[in-house]
Amino acid sequence: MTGPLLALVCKDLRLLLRDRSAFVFTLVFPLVIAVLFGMVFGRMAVPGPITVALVREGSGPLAESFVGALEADPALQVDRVEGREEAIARVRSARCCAVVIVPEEFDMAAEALLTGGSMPIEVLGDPSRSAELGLLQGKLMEIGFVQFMLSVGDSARLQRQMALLRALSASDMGTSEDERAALLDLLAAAQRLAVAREEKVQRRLEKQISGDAAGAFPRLSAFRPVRIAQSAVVDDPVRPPSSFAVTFPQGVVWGLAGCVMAFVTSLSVERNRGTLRRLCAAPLSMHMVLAGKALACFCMALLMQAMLMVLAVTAFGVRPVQPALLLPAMAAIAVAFTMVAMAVASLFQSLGGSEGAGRSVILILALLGGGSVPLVFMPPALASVSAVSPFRWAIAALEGPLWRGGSMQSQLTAIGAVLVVAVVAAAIAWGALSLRRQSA
Amino acid sequence: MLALREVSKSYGTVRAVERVSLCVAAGEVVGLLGPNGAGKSTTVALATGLMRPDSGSVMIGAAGDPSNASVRRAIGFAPQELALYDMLTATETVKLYAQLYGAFRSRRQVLEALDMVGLATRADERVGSYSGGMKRRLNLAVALVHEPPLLVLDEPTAGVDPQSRAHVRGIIRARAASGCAVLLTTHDMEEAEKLSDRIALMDHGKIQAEGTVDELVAIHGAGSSRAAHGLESVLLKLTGRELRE
Repeated sequence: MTGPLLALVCKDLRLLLRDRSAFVFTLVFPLVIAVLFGMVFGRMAVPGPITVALVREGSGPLAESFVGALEADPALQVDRVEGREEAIARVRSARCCAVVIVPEEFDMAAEALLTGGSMPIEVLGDPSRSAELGLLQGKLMEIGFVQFMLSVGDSARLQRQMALLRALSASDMGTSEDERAALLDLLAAAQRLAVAREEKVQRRLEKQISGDAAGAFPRLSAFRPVRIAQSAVVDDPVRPPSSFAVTFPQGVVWGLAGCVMAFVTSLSVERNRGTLRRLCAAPLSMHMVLAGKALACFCMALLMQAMLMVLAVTAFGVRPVQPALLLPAMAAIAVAFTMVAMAVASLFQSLGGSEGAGRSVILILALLGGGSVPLVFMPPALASVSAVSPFRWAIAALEGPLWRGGSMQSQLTAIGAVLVVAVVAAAIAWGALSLRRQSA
Repeated sequence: MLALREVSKSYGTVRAVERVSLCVAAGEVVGLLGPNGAGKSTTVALATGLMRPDSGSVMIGAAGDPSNASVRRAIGFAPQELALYDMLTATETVKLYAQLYGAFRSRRQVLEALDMVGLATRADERVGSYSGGMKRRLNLAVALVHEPPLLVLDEPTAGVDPQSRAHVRGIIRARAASGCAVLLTTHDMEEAEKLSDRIALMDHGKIQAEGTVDELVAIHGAGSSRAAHGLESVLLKLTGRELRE
């Protein structure tokens, strides 16, 4: 019986591929959606100047100098913000990738650079924009080094600091003569040390510039002028690696909707034009005729998914994190949506019913299930409503192996949910056909 | 080859076919005539296994009941509606039905089948581009492709030009001459007379009269000559002149 079954499957696939509207809706439209949405979402995160919100709590000249250097850097777009709350709100609304806080104690700590201190900076970042955060850290460190070099190279500033200290020690601070003499000796020694370190740094810099860099700055390489305390603003550690990792499963949703609608319509057309009656006059059971339709729908759904996944990987840089689970997920989805097609076909048997109500139901479920707004961007209320859509489970089953990752158990649960959709849809189809038989 | 014995079929309270008995022997062409709603299409559906009778029996040769899928292999069915796929070519259509009937056909054999109905030169064109007459001939080719011993043809020349009609009639005669049993429904009295060895006149779900054209005209014709209008007058006499839905 495989010969007639294969003949039926080939017939249905041929008809689908030759029907321009069905072909476009099943294979072309999902690809356009995946690529277009991918480009749109991707453009939102195109690397340009890194946008940061700056909160300046330190009011000293060193803090101002640091902030000035930040603002002057072409790789950064710095927006000064009054308070931490407003800055964090900007990160949450994705208007910037991080908040940079220059704390009150910045100047005091910066003065201690020569004696092993470091400039404290607080960064509150969006963890989904890890690349930009990495670049920001590098930038902060670079500006910190510049600030350090300025403090080392600026002798006047150094002398000024020492004189200030000397003046302070000379004043009556309740210290004894011996203590005051010891402090002055210490300051003099500190000044000599500062000058000696400056000469040493200068020599080593010259050495490095002349090409003999090996072993240069053995201690300075471990030295960090900026102490960055970074923490996350948005607590969602799992984010898609690229926009296409989200939009290709979205494309699959539309492909599945196309498959379902194409086969529901084709069954109604066959019923309407008498070809179904003619098939039933052949030595085939009605179950065989329906099995042929179902198998063709399954093949088309699988083919469409495979095409989109291959394109996603080869042309759009999507790297599945669990590729071995992708095929079982796609097969389960194809089974589930074949059953969905059968359920819709059994509920809406007339041509008008399948093309009107049937299509509307499928479109609404596709939109609700993540066809237009990706599940990761859905508001929580809408995300919970989307659970009624079979498309939502299809996306979840694909996103796991594609980029979410997770344990084998969680992946099998997602595939299991898709198979539950298949069982429910099969039960609806069976129930609707039984009711029709009884009423006939 | 085909034997309907006392078959009855109802749709709810409507009795579509009532205790109809009809036989078609190998090599014989039986014409089933009657006004619209007489029960011809239901009789055809019962004969081809598309419906099961409420009572009575249908037998296809020694094979048995056509509601059994494997028995339907012996039937070649050309429905009244042009049940063809516009997006397939004629070759693909014929090959598809050959496969469904378990008969492998090479391209040469498929082309021979299409040549028989005068479509070999346009074999690779899509059915959607065919005229009504060409579709009607392809409809017949599909019924013939697996060389069945029984042909059930529901108005095989409806709405076609005289050339196509003559061609189709020639094919039916040739098949009958080769031993094929043919059950033919038609509203065309001339066709019924030219093709049929026997005529069964049906109305209100019952066979009203059965016999050769000469017998029917002699018994029910009221002095008409043996001509097409003679058979028509027999039909009108037996089924009345009131319009049917």
